[in-house]
Amino acid sequence: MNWEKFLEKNYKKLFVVPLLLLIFSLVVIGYFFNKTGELFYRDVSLKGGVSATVYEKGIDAENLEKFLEEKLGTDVFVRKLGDIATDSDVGVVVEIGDDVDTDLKKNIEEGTGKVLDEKNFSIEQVSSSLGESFYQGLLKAVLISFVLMGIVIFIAFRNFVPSAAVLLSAFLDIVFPLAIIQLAEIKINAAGIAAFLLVIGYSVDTDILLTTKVLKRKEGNIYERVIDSTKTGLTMTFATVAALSIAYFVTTSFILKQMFLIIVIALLVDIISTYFMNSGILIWYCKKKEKNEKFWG
Amino acid sequence: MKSFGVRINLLIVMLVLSLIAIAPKLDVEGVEIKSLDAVSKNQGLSIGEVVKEVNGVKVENTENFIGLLKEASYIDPIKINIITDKSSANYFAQDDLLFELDNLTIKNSKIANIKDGEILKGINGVKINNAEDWEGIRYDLLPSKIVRIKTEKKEYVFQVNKEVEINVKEVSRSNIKKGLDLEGGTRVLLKPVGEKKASDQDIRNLIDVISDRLDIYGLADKRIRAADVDGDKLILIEIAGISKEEVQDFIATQGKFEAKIGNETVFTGGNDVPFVCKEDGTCSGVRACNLASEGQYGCRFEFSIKLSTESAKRHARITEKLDVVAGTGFGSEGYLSKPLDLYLDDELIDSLQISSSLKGSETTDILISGSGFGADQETALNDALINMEKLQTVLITGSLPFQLEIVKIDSISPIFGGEFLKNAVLAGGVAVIAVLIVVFIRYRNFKIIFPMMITLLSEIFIILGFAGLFRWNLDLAAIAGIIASVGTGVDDQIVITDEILKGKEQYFNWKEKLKRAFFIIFVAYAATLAAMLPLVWAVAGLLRGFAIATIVGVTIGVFITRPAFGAMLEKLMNK
Repeated sequence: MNWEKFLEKNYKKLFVVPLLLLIFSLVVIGYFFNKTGELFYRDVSLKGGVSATVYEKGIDAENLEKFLEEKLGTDVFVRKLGDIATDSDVGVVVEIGDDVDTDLKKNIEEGTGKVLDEKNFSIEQVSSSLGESFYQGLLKAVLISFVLMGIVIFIAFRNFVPSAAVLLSAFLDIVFPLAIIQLAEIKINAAGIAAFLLVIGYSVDTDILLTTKVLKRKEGNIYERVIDSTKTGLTMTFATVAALSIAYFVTTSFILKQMFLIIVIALLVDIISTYFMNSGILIWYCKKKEKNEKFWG
Repeated sequence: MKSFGVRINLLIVMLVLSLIAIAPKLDVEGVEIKSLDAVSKNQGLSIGEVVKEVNGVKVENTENFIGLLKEASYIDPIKINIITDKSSANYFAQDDLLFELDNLTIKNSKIANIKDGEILKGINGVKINNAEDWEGIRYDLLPSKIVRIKTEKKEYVFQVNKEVEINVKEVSRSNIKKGLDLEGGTRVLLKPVGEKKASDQDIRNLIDVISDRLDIYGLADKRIRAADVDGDKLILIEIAGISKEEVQDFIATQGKFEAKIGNETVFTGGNDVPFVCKEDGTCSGVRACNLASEGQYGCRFEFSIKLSTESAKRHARITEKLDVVAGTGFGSEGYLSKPLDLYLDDELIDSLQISSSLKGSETTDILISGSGFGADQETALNDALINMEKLQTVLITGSLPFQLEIVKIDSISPIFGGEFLKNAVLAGGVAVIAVLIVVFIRYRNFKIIFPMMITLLSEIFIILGFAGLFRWNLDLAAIAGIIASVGTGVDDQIVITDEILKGKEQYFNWKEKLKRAFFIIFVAYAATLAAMLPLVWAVAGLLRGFAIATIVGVTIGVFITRPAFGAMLEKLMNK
């Protein structure tokens, strides 16, 4: 099949896919925000509360949850900590959203019948006011980093439409993973937001490649140049996606898992946002420019 | 010899420099001491010493050390035969005789058959007729063992009658420091609360005082810095091996010490006290222990301090006004009408009678005292020691200018920290392999894969070199950052490869092609830099490790390793 011909005929139709994804993401986010008043479920590090990890096999998470809820009189969330690589039971994570003063360690010892010490017990405690300011601070950081990235793009290309296309593509790369995370009800931690920042830096790589080749090169026609940069860009994306998805399954750390998951989803949707949307906009922009030049020239 | 060209030579130089910065040590042996119990501390062992042998057996690693120490200091229970005026019994004892003796009368008996109030008549075949008989045998009753611990300094030989507790960690094998989440420990974020807002200078003062306090407690393995969260000034402390309770007790208590006569303050901790006697038995120590009340022991400690001349003058001025009250005992010289009251954080901890001879005198030598309590003598002694150390610390460092509230506390288990590290390294390794497989599928050419592999590994190595040079704490987030920057590294190498491979159209020479590739690379670099910069300052810098690892990674990539990759590819493909 001749990809250049295919692209020439269909580049406007391809635009529908990213547009649908964008609408889908915005609807999900809007619905979620309406329902919860939040952008995503926050974990202890961004909301305040206590998160305790017990590294002991054979703890019944449901029983422990019931026991602690009765004992403390507040909502307790207990989840199993498993190692996906070996499919083994590693322990449990106990999370409480409120600021608790009671000795959680003692209560967990009572509920599980295990002796806890510094070797099998880790605890993270954040006051709700600090969690809130971490959250606000990180949202600000995301905003600032998007703006700074935008400035870099505008300086590099000095053209409104192509630069705006890069930013639109990056925007989709952020909102789509966010919508997926909301649907999957995953609790985001501070490192998860760092992953979103990385996505801002990462996802524009392929767009920069595409825009540079289309706008600044003269060899071949525009479709050839788009296809050419698609080959390079897809190799880039697949290499990174392969690396991070394998790392996702290997790692036992929740922090790394969440970061890798967000980046992988963003990179996958980046294929669509770059080659279905950004390339379409660029082709349309170049054709219009050509027409204008012909008309005036 | 053929020259490699500037770009490749630069890479080689950077790799050598990184190796020097990381400074891997191949011949390390033993384990490093992280914390000690009272017995081993008393023998002169100190934190940071490297243990090489226990009872003549070489220490291989931490697990092996724990086993060796347990074996060396484990006391087998021995059989004890006891006879009293009413009954007799045989039982096993390990580190406790299971009874106490008061004037040869049994009390607090935990032995079946033997009740409190019975009179001891014999033990292990030795007749007990008087206190001397008992004193002669009591220390030989319980089993004890000789433990020999050899460190890089000297060999410590001491007798123990219960298990020794020494916590150790692996000796660092290079200059790369592991972050708290990979090594285990406690991280605390403290917020000063007070009537006025803390200024930058206040925060610096607080950090100094806290740092001094931690030094006094022998916690050398610590990091303290100021942190800014949304305009709030906070203090971040990371310490390996300290519990939440200890943090609250030692660091976050304000430690406001005041010595008052009546309502007038004579002196406070810090500047008023230029010298505090500490760890010197002649002028500091627990002096006496006794039964305070039923089931409650009390121990009294004393240590001397020197007052500043200003405080001494204040002392003279205040005592001048006081009356002399006759002493109660025979030959006593009498006391002043008001005592010297010692307050710690507004709580009265002790009241000292002032000798009448000190009335109106500008004395600079003061003896401070206080006490500790407990259900038995040992706990009372420990309590007194802890209280003494606390008071000494407060007197030396002065009080904190603010009360501190703990807003965030994390404690990470050291064992799982170690496993996270192994796991993260494994994750990084498979990520590199996965990248190489994808690239191989695309190009099917070892002349491309080989330089790419060298470049990826060099990038990781040089980032680690930077970590060693600047003594970063490499935490989980930083490892994520390294994996991320390697990810962008691959992107750039693929761009370079594709530009160079387009050999069909020979419009451009090699230089031109690389230049074209580097426009894309530089813009992508600037975008990543722009995206990561805000994170250096966000969330009190807790994610700084990630941000800096990524920024350093991509910077090294763009300026050193990727140009070298272009040069390598040029040489290999152009033959």
